[in-house]
Amino acid sequence: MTRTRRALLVLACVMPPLNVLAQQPLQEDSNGGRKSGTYLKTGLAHWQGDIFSRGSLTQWDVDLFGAEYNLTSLNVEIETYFSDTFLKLSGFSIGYRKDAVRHIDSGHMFSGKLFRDVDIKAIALKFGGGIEWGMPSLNFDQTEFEFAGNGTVRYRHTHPDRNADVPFVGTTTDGALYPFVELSVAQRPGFFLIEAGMRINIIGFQFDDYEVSVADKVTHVLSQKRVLVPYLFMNLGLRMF
Amino acid sequence: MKRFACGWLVLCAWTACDNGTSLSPVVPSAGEPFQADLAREVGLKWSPYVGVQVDGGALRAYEDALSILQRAGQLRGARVEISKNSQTSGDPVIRAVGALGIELLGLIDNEYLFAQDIEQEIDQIFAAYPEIRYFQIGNEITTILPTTGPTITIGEYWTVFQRIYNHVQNRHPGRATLLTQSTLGAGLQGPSELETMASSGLARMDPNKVIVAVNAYDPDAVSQYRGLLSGPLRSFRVWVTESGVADSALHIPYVQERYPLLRNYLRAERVYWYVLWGGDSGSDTDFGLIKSPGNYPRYWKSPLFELLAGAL
Repeated sequence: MTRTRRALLVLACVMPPLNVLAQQPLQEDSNGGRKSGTYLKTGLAHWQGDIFSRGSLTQWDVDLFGAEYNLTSLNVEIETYFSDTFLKLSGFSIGYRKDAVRHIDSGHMFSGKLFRDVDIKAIALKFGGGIEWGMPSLNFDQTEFEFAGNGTVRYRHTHPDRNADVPFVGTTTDGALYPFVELSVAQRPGFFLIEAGMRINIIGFQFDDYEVSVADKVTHVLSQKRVLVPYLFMNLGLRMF
Repeated sequence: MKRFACGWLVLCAWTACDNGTSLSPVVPSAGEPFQADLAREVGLKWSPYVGVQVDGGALRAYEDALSILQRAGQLRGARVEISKNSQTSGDPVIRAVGALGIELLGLIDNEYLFAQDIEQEIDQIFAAYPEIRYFQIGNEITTILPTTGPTITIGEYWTVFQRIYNHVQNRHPGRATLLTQSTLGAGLQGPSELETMASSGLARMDPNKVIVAVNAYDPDAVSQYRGLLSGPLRSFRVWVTESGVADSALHIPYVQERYPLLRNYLRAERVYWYVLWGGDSGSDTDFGLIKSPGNYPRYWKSPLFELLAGAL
C-alpha cells in the first residue's frame, strides 16, 4: 500500500462529520445570503495511469492506485467566492501545484480556474474549468524499447506536448499549456473549507515511434493527440478574509 | 478543527514525499533465488556498452574483462578515445578492443577541434580505424578543456562540427555516423549548448547521419532536455555516452533504478557505463567496473561486473 493510499484511508477515518461542525447552512452567511470569502487552500492530489495502455487515460483502472505511473502532488490555491453569482460564476481561484515533490527541475504547474457551485443540503457541488501552465512532471515521459534479434531497435516515446515557453527557466518551449475541467464537493464550515474531487487535464501528448535498422536507417512516425488525464484531490482551506 | 488542519498539512507533506527514490546498496548474496532474480532484472535493464580508457598498462585486464562480459551477452560496444598520439597507425589498445568483435564508438579527442585542417585529420582517423563506424566529435567541450590551454565556445565548436559533417557527407558518404559532443546532463549549461547547436544547424541535418549525445549521471536532472528532444530534435536519436555512480556498492541499484529512467526521459537507445576502469586521475575511480588492472589476472571486479558476468 502506498503512502498516498494509506494517507487517504487515514483521512477518511479521521475526517470529522462536518454537518456536526456547522452551526448554520454551510454555504450561507449569518444573514442567510450567499457566503463570500477568500480562502487559502492546500491539498494533496494523486494521479495514476498507464499511458501505453489503450484508453487507459480515459478509463480508470479497477485498481485505482495500481497502474503504471504514480504521482503524488501538493497544491496551494487562493480561492475567492463571490457574494453573488457573477455571469453565472460563483468564484475563481489561482493555484500552484508541485508534482513529484523530490524532482526539483520539473513538475511545477500554475493554474487559473473559474467555478460555479450549487448547494445540495450540507455540501456544495462545484464545477469548474481553467488553464494549467508550467513544466510538466518527468513522470509523463515514457519510452518502451524493443530490441530485435537482427539488430533493429524499435521504440515508442510518449511525452506531453511542450507547446509553451516558461520564461527564465530552461530552454525555449519546454513548458506545457492545457485546459482542464474539475468536479468536486465542498463544505465551508466556519473559517474552513474542505473539498474533495477530480480534475481532468486535457493534455496534448506526442506519440513518437522510431525504428533504427542495423544500417542506421532511421524511420519515425510522429503523432499527437489530446488525452484526458484525471487525478483525485483533497483540499483543506482557511478563510483569509 | 485546528488539530485536524495541522494534521492535514503534516499528512500532505509526508505523502507527497512518496515520490522519488534514493539508491541503497544491494546485497547480492542473499540466497540463490534472490540472486537469480536480481541477475535477470539487472541484465534486462543493463545497456551493453561501456567506456574504455585507452591505457596500454591495462590492456590484458581489459581483454579479459571485456571477453567475460561479451561471453555473458552483456557487452556489445565500447567507447574509446582517439587522441593525436595514436592516430597514424591506430592505437594498439583500440585495435585490441576492436579485435574482440565488439562495436567501437570512437571519441575524437577535444584537441582535434583546434586543428587547422580538420578535414585532413578526419581522413587520417578514418584510414587508421576502418573498423569504426561511429565517431563522436568532442566531449564536454566547454567544461573539461584545461583553462591553461586553448578553449572553445559552443559556437566555435559548431563551426568545426559542420565542417566535419560536410566533409564526411561529401568525401566519405555512408562511411560514418557522427555523434555530437556530449553535453552535461545536469543543469542548464548542457541543454543550452544543445539548443545552440540545434538552432545553428543541427536540427536541419540528416537524422540518419547524426546522433545526439548526452553525459547523464542523474536522470532527475535531465528535464531541461525534454523540450529540445520533443521539439527541434524530435527526429534525432539519443545516446547517453557516460553514466554511472562513483560507488561500487551502488552500481547495481543504479542500473536497476536509474537506467530505466534515462531511457524513459531521454529515449536513449544506449547508455554507456562510465567506465570499465578509470585511472587517469591517479587512483582507481569508484565508477570502475574493475580496479587494479595491473594485478591481472587477479584484478578487482565490482559486484555489478560479477553479476553481469554471471559469477555471483
